[in-house]
Amino acid sequence: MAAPTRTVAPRPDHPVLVFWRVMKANPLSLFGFLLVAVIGITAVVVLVAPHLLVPYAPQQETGAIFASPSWQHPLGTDALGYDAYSNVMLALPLDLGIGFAVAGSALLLGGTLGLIAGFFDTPGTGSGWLSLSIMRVTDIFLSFPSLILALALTRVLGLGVGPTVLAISLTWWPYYVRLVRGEVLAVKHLPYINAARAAGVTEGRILLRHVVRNVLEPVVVFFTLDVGTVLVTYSTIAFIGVASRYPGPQPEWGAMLGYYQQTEPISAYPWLILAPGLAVFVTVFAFSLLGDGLRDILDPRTRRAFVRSVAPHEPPKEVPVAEPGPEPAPPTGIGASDPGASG
Amino acid sequence: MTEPVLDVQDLSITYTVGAGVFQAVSGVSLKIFPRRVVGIVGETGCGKSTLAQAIPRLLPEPPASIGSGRIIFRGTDLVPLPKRQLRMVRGTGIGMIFQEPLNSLNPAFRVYDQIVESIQVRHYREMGWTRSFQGGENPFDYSKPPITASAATSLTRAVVPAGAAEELVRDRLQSRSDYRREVLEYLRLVRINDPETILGLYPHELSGGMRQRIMIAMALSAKPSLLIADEPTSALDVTIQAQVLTLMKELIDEVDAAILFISHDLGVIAETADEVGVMYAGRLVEYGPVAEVFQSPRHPYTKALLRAAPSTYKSEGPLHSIAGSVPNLSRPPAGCRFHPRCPLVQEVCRGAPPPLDPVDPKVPKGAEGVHRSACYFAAEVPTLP
Repeated sequence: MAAPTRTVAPRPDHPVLVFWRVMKANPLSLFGFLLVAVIGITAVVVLVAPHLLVPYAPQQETGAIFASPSWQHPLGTDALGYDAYSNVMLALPLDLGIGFAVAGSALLLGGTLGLIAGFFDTPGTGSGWLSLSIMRVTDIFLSFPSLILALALTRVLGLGVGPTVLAISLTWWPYYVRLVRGEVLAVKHLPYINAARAAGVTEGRILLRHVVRNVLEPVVVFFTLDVGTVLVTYSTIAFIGVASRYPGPQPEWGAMLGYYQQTEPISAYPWLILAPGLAVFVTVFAFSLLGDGLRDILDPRTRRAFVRSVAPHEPPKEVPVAEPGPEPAPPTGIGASDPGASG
Repeated sequence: MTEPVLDVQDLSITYTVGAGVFQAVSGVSLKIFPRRVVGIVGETGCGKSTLAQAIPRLLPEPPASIGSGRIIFRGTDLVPLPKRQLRMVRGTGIGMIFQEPLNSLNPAFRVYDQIVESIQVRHYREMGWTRSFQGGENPFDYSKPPITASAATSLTRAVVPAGAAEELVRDRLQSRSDYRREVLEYLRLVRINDPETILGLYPHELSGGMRQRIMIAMALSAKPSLLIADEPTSALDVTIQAQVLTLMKELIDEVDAAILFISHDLGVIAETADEVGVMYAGRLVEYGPVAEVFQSPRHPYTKALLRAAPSTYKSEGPLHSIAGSVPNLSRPPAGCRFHPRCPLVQEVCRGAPPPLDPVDPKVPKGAEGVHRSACYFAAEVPTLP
C-alpha cells in the first residue's frame, strides 16, 4: 500500500510578478498598457514642460503657409501658418482630461445610483420606491440620443470647454446606472452573498465589500473603453464648432478636424486632416487595449490561468504525511527535526 | 432541566408565487437542547431546507412569509424582530453551512479574507464595538460598555503603568498577526493540511471538499450557539462526502454548539444525529431518538422511506419505491398529508391532521426526547412489510 500523501499547493507569487506574467501572456494588452503609459507621460510633459516637446505656441505664425511635413514642421502648417504638430500635442492634455472628467463623473454618479437601485430593490418598501425612481429617471435620459441631448444642453449651459464637459456628463451617467444595476442584480442573489448575511455581516458592508468587488471588473473595463468614447463624442461636438474653437489659444482635436475639413482641400493636404484624426484614433485604441488587459488582471480566475499557462509553474505536489493528526508535529524530540534522520 | 437553545413552535411558512400559495412548512414544532444534534430528513421539496433557512430568517421575504408560529432562540422570539436585530443574531448566535460549497464562497476573496471577516464580526461583538445578541430577557442590551480602541488606550495610559496598559489594550485589540493565527487555528480545526498556503488561495483553486471545509471553518469561527448545516455533504462526491462527514462527526464533540443537520440521506443522519425528525410535505411526521426511529419506525412514511433506501451490502432484487407521488403543496391533501399513498389509510385520516404524539400511550404528551409519530395507527406500523 502506498504511503498517505497530502497535496501541497504552490505558494502565491508577488503581485508585480503576476502582473508581468499576465502582460507577457497577452502582448496586445501589454502594448495597450505601454501606449496608455506613453500617452499619459506625454500629456504630463506637455502640461509641465511644453518646451521639451512642443516647438511652437498654438497661434505662433511660422511664416510658412501649407508647408509639407518636414523636420521643422513634422505635420506641416495650415492656412494661417500655424504648426499642426504643436497644436496636436498641446491638445493632448485637454482631450485626455475631458475623457477622464466625463467618464469619471459618470462612473461616480451612475455607479452609486446603480448600486443603490440594484441592491435595495425590495418592492413595496421605501428603498423599493427609491430604486424605482432612479430607474425611471435613468430611462428618461436614455430615451434621448446622448449626443443630441448634450448638444441641446450646450445651448442652455453656454459655449466653451467647461459647459460642454458638464453637458456631456449630464447625459453620460445613465449608462453606468444600467450597467452597474444589472451586474448588482446578477451578483446579489448568489449564494455567497447570502452566506455573508448568514455570518452576520451588515448590509452596508455586504454591498460595499462583497458586491462592489464582484461588479468591479466589468465596470472598470467599461470605464476604460468609455474614456475613448467620450473623446469621440467631445470631438464630434467640437467638430461642429460648438465646444472648442480652432484656431485659438487652447487647441482641441475635434475642433482642429472641423477647421481643417472646412478650409483645406483634403486631397491637397491630407496630413493636416490625418494629424488630429490619428491622435483621436490612437488614444481610443490604446484605451480599448488597456480595457481588455484590465479584464484579465481583475478576474482572479483568468489571472491565475494566465500565470499557469505561461510561467513554468511549480505544480501541486504530493508529499508524505508525517502523522494522521491535524497538525504537523512540532520538532520536540532530539533528531525529530533532522531531515537526515528519517532517510 | 436545561433550556433549549432553539424552540420552534407551530411554524408555518408559505411561498407566494404568481397566483399560487405553497405551504412549504406547516405546523412544525422542534426543540434543540445544548450540544445536541438534531437531524431533519425528508425527500426533496418536503420543506426541510426552507425550515433551515427560516430559523435565522434568511429566506427572501417575499416570496416567502412566516404565516404563524414562533422561533424562540435562547429565549427570544425571532419572528417579530426587525432586520437590524436579526443581523445581530446571525453569525455568533446562529451559524450556517450551506449546500453549495462552490458558490457559497466569494470568488474574489482569498480564504484568509473570508474567514477573517467572520472572526471580525464575532470579535467586534465580543468587544462591545458593535451591538450583539445576548439572549434572555433583554436580548439586545450591552453586556459591557462600548470601548473603542482609542478610548481604551487613553484611559489606561493615564491611570495604570505602561506594561499593564499594553496588556489591557492587547486584550481588546487584535492585530493582523492575531487574526492570522486565529484563522490558521480554524483551518487546522477543519483538518486542512498546509493551512499557511491555503490562506492565500482563491476559492476556485480549491476542491469541493476543501471549500466545504472552509465554509465549516467560517461558520465555526463565529462560535455560534446553534449551527445549522443545510445538506453540507449533498453536493460532494461520495468519497469527499465521507471525509466531510467524518470531520463533522469529530467537530460535534469538539465545538460547544447545538447542531441542526438537514439531509435527504438517511445514512448521514443515522451517523451524526442524536435525534431525528422526518418531514413529509411540509409536516413533521415522526420525531425521536435516531436509533428508535430508524429501527422501529412508527409512521408509514418513515417505514416506506427506510425500505426505499438502497442498501450497499445486500442486493435483494428490485429497488422499492413509494407508490403515488409527492402532493402539490399549493393544494395539499386534507388531514394526514400522506394519506393518498398510505397502506393503512382509513376515513379518519382524511379528517383532522393527526397530532405528533408520543407512540407510547403511557408517556405524557408534553414529554421531551421521546419517540413521537403523527399517525392515528402508529401501533400498526410495525406490521407493515
